[in-house]
Amino acid sequence: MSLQRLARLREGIYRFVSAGFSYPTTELLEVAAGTVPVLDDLGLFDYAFALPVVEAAQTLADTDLDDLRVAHAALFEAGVGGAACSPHATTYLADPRTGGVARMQSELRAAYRRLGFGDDLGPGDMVDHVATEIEALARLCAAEVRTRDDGGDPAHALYQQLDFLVIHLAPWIPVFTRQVAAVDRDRAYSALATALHAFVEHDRELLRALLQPIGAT
Amino acid sequence: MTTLVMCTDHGAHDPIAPAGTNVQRAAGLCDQPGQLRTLVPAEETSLLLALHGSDYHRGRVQAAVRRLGFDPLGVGILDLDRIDDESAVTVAAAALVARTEAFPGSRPEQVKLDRPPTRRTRRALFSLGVPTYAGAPMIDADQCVAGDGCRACVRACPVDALTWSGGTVSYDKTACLACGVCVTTCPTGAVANPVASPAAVEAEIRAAIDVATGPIGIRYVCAPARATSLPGWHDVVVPCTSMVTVGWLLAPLVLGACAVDTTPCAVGGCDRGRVDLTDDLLDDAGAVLHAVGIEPARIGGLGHEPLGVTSPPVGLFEAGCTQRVIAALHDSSATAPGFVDLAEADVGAVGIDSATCTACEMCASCCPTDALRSSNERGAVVIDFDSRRCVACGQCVLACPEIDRDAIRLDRGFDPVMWAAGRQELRRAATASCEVCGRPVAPDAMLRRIGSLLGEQHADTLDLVARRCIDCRGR
Repeated sequence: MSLQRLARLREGIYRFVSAGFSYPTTELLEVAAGTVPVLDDLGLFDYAFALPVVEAAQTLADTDLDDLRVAHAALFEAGVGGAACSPHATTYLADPRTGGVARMQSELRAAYRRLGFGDDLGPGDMVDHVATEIEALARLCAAEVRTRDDGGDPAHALYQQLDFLVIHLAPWIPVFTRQVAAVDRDRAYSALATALHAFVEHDRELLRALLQPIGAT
Repeated sequence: MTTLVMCTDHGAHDPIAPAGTNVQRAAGLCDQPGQLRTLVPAEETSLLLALHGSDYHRGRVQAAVRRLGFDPLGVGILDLDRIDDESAVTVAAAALVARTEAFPGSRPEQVKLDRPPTRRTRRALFSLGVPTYAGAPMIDADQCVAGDGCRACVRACPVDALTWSGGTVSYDKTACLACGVCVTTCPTGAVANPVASPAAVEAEIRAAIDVATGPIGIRYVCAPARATSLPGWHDVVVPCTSMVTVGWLLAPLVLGACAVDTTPCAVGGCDRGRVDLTDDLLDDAGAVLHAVGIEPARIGGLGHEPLGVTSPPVGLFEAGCTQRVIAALHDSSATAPGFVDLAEADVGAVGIDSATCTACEMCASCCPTDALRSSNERGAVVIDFDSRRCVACGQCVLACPEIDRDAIRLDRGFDPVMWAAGRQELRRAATASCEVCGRPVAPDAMLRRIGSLLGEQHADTLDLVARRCIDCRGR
């Protein structure tokens, strides 16, 4: 199997999950309904994350749009006491009493700029939102695909993905997933969070395994 | 309902189907696992495959069963290359059905990419085979007692994949060999690997013993060993035989097996570096059997009748297995007096030297199994010990501030008489009481020790500390 195909598969999954955590639209349900056959063509079932991804896609596709919007608001949008399951990395990783939130958001903006898509973010954009961070990884996978298509060395693109994943996304996803699973009554978002958790866990290990031998032989 | 799908290449087997199992046969299944799609009914809840170990690619089989909606780690694979006897296939099928049905499910953290079999090169950045996956351990933070100082799993890990820092254990999945040693070492059952679940292994062994038409031996086999099965034995495949404790080794005897054995993956040198422990394990298990009056020849040798232990406890293989197994064997057999030294077994006896122990209770507070317990009784600190709960983790010895003066001692092994006696008082130390409120201040032994360290010039300070509790000192 070519790692080009795997990079496309990983990009596709990041894009699907990023769309899933964004505000629900009719297009999202269409994407959810059509995503498994597309990912299957890219070898989805060869990988351990296949079952949670399929479960998430099917559950989202089977959920009524209005119900999904209610669930999205209830889980992720701030109410009087804050969101039931904050979708923001800084909630889990930064200490607001010491200015940690602003510092982390600034670090994220810097990371996005370094990776080449900082211009797409306006001042009010939620740089630490789960959908934004996943979208960043989708773009890094897309860059890897382009490099491979051009016959280039993908090592740099892989390092960028691993760095972003390990520093920004992976540390808080397990806690976020547990929180969503505990609160989500309709199960659509808990299935999506479980899929993200399984995929991130796998991706971290995969990237490390791919990069481990570089320079060793 | 379970479906058993058998590959008919190299001759078809015709085992007696386990009760409630739907049996399917297919030619070329090892080479083309994709045909499972047409063989397994959609409503099936578990799946067992009988394949030829030399013919199939594990990753491709895992992908095929994943497509059917099954967790590949929960799909049992019976290796037909290793078993050529029809009745052995029948026993193995029934046993694996039971193990498959007892599969606890896997979480994302419990799945790991198998280590590549050869050293990888830069070419690995461009091509990748169908990946294969293994089960990995996960630590349940609610059950883990690393916060009390326990690091039994860290010490047991052969590749330093587990590290202890500040009361938590960190895990490096890339370094982990998934050998399962941490699972059976954990004194509280906080470490779980879905492919080495104690409940699933117990279910497999119980089923094998139930289905066998005569006395049967249970042999633990390393997954990579691919050892040929032997007549009269049922092989229980484990990730690595170094995860087998004395308790796991002897537990099948309690359940009705007539003999037990273990086969590591390589003759003369295990690639996971723990083959030396197998010899110690067999010696320890033999010593335990001898001590409780059972023929040690049951280790490795068939030809015995089952022990006939009545009502073996359910959950025998869970944390504390060795203690439960010895209790079951001990209760049903005559015992020999005297302490039985064991090299590696997870049983121990703690002794406290009253002359040097200050009764600080550190040993009891860090004991992960409550084998050591402390209490306050009418003006005295009492520390008692139950050898039936001790897993010989050594945490008490590490925690003792007076270890340089040999205040506490741990002997790996067990004394059948002490075992029968149950919980026993090891230390009783009178405590000084506050002259103002009457509450305990500290054990007299501790105050004497503090006095000896402070010296004569601080006698007044010691006098105050000894006479009044911390709340009353400023009054």
